[in-house]
Amino acid sequence: MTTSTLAIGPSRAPTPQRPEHTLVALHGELDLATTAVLRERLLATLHHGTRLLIIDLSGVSFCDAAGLTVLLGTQRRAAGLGITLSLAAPNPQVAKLLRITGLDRSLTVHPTLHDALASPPTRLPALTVERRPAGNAHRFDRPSPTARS
Amino acid sequence: MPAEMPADTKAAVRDMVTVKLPADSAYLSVLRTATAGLAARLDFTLDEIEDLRIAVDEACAMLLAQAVPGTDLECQFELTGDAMRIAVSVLTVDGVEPSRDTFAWTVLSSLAGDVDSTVGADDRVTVMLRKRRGAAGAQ
Repeated sequence: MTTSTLAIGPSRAPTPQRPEHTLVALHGELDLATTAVLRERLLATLHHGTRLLIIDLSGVSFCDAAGLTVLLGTQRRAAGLGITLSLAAPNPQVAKLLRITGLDRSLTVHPTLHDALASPPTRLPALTVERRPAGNAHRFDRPSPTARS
Repeated sequence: MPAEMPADTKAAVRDMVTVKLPADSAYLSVLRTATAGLAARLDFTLDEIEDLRIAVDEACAMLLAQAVPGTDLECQFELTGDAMRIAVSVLTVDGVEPSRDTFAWTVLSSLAGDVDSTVGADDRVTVMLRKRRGAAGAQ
């Protein structure tokens, strides 16, 4: 492999019936080579009608500070729209980085996707939003993109 | 290089390995893999190998931001008995040491322990790190 790859798509995990949330699953390596496309795609998932954006990190095999910065930027943008961001199921490497940088205190991190889905959004939306159908996991075109800088 | 070395000779390993790659983030994953392979040769634990992989990635990523386009990133690994010293350097536009007030530097210094940076003549910026096997790191 000569380049980092990162795919973003619907989570394969079963989604309980729950309105007004968007679930995004990331797969692959999250480094400087993949952050540009990730930032763009994550920001595209932020739209009115979503109160909670859950990012499933269980498929992320590597993440560095550049990747963390994108997650933090997404959280800030989400907060401005009244959307709560939750991170779910980081592997031990990602969890360690979140701890080292102190971001585990400013980002909401759940050990499992199940926990993230069971936790209600911690903030109210800034706007009155249209109610969406249950379990609107976000979908992207396949095959998975290969990101290059 | 023999595929298997008796444990008692590993302490005597003292090799220099230089990896030169285009200064392009697409090659970060290649360098991480090389780092893991070299660390395994020194019998670092899996956790220590992971720390080194991330540390080298961070050192390179912070240099790539100011690399002269079209130049190479040079990564020099010095393997001694129980430690690895790594120097990553790149020709830069501005000749400025990486800021230490960043997530990247926090991660780098937490995982590698011993970290420094210099600016040479010709605006070549180098980030150096050193990790010893068995040393306590960030948990």
